[in-house]
Order: sequence, then structure tokens, then C-alpha cells
Amino acid sequence: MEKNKITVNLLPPEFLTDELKRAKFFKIQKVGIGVILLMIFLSSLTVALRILQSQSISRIQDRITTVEQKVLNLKDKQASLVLIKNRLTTINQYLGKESKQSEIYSFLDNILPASISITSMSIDKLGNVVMVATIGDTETLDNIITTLTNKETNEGKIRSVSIESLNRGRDSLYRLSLKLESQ
Amino acid sequence: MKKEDLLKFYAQYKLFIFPLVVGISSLILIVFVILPQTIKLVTNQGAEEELFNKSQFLEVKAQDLDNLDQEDLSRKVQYVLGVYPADKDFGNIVGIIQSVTSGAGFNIVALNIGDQNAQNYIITLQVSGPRTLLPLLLSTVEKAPRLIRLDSLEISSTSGSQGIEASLGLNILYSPAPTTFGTVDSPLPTLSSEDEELLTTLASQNPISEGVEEVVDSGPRGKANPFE
Repeated sequence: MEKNKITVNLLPPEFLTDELKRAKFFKIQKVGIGVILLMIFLSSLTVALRILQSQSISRIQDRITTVEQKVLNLKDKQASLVLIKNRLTTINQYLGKESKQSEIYSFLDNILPASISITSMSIDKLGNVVMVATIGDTETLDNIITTLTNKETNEGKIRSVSIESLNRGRDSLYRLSLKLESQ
Repeated sequence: MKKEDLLKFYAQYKLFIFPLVVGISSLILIVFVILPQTIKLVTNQGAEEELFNKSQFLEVKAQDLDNLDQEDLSRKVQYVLGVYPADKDFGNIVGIIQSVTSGAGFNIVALNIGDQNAQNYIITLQVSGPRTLLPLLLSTVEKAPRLIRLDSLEISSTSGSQGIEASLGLNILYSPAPTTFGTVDSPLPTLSSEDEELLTTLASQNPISEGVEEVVDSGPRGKANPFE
């Protein structure tokens, strides 16, 4: 059987209130001090990290200054290298590459038959050709026109062929003036 | 207000005053110390990384430059400037044209210097020679040890004759040296294998004669005392 416990608080009620207040304040004090310490710790940590970072940055800057000086001392080599590279880019574009004019001339020289006698030929900056030639027979003339106008035989180099003039002289020779527009 | 009154006031309201003081102190620390330092820390982290990368880049660049052979570079500069010079160099070009023309079996009738621009000029070359050799002349001109491009071509011949007269408009390329050769921070150009091959080709086309320096004795000459 359970014993009945009788507790009687004989202390005055003000004392109890004071005790509760004190306990509550003690808790607040503990938390407050903890917060302050944490803030101080965080402040010190960030400041310390910043100091370390600044030192590291200034070390790197010193190193950069030293290396920059070294690079500046070697600027002649850099200038030579830049010049070489710069020139090679242009040289590579042109060296060993046939110009359009030369290409057109070689092409015409290859495809035109030996029986055609070229009186004059002019190739301009765009590769367009004006040619005056003498031909012995109409068959050759046909062949030339066919070769120049056919995409397979003209290798895609000629866009259009126009006959400026065609005369037959007393000597039975055909005098032909051709204008070729290059592709 | 007396001290006793203050103590009494504090004792009465310490449950509120203490947390308030702690809160204000923390706030001051956060606003004036922790927050600015953290922001700077984060910002400088990027700057530090950038500086570190720059330092690494410069060290590699300095090392690369250090490894380059100055003599080899000078030789290569001579090769490229020989082919694509910094000035018009009329004397040299006339010599080259003469040599190329006669090498291809043609005779020079006239040579005129025409339009001059900042990076090129035109030379009109009138030649006479066999028609069959004209392709060779054109090819040789464009393979000359100078950048020459055929700009225009005019040919005339009399019927039945194998000889022709040709007028070649030659575009002579040159380029003044650049005023800036890159900054300390600019990346270093590298010569690719194609570039090296091209340089080898240029070297074979324009062999640089190793100059034999004549030793000139600059000391006193003659008798020490001419009256002896």
C-alpha cells in the first residue's frame, strides 16, 4: 500500500519567486556569455583568415613582380617570336600558292590546241581574260568554245564565255576575240 | 541618478537588460567585424586565385622564353623578313626579278614601279621571250624568295612567231614591323610543326650566308717615331 506523503512548504512565497528568477537569469547569463564568446571567436577567426589571405596575396604579388621582370628581360625573344609568327601567317597564305591569274593562264595554256595562234591575251586582277587568237578552221573553233563552256573540261574555272568578234580574213583564217569571265 | 538606483534598476530588469546588451554587442561584432571581413575574404579569394593563375602563367612564359635560343630566333627572323620584309626594299626586289626573269629564259624590256600602298606596291615588268617558257616564268616569279603575286598579265605575239612580249603586273608584298610585340601578360605564340616546316622551306630558299668578319686592326699603324 502506498504511503501518503505530505509535503508542506513553509518558505515564504517571495523566496520561491526569487529562486525562480535567479535560475532563469543564470540560464540567460550562460547563453549570453556563450553567444558573446562565439562572436568573439568568429571575429578573431575572420580577422586571422584575412591577415593570412593578405600575406598570401602579397607573397604572390611579389612573385609576380619578380617573374614579370624576368619576362621583361626576355622581351627581345618575345618580340622575335611574335614577329616570326605574324609573318609566317601571311607567308603561309601565299608561298607556293599559285595566283588566280597564273592558274588561269596555265589552264588556258594546257587546254588550247597548238593550232590556235594567240595574238594577245590579257588577264586582269579578277582573273578575267580577254584573248585575241587566229584559228585555221571552224572545227578547232567549235572545240575551243565547247571546251571552255563545258563544266567538266573547263574545270569549273570559267563562268562565262563571250565571243566579242569573229572574222574570216582573205587568208582563210578566223580571227576570234574572246572574253572569259573566271569563276 | 545614483549608483544605488542604477543597481536597483538593473536588479529589477536584469532579465531584459542582459540579453539586450548581449544582443547589441553581437550585432555590433557581426555588422562591423564578422560580416565585412567575411565579404572581403570571399571577394579576395577570387582575386587571390586570379593572381595565383597569373603567377603560374608568367612563370611558364618566363620558362618558355628562357628555353628559346636567341640565335635560332634571330636566324628565323632573318628568314621571314627575307621573304616578307618590313620595307619596300626596291634594290633587292629588282635583283630578284632580274635573276628570276633571266633564269626563266626571258629578257627584261622595261620595269616600272607603280602604285605604292602601305603593305604592297605594283611593279610592271615587261619581258620578251619564248612563249613556251611563260608558264615557267610565272611559276618562278611566284616562288621567288620574296612574296610576289601576279596581279595582271598581258601577252602579245606576232602570228607565226614563238616569241612573245608579256607585261606582268607584280604585286610585291611587304609589311612594316608591328609597333607592339605583346605585353607581359599576353600569351606567347607557339610555332607549330607547320610553321617549323615552313621555316625550313624558307631556310632552304634563302640560305643566310654566315658572315665572315674581317678583322681590322684598329691599333696604331706605322712607325712609332716617323723621324727615326
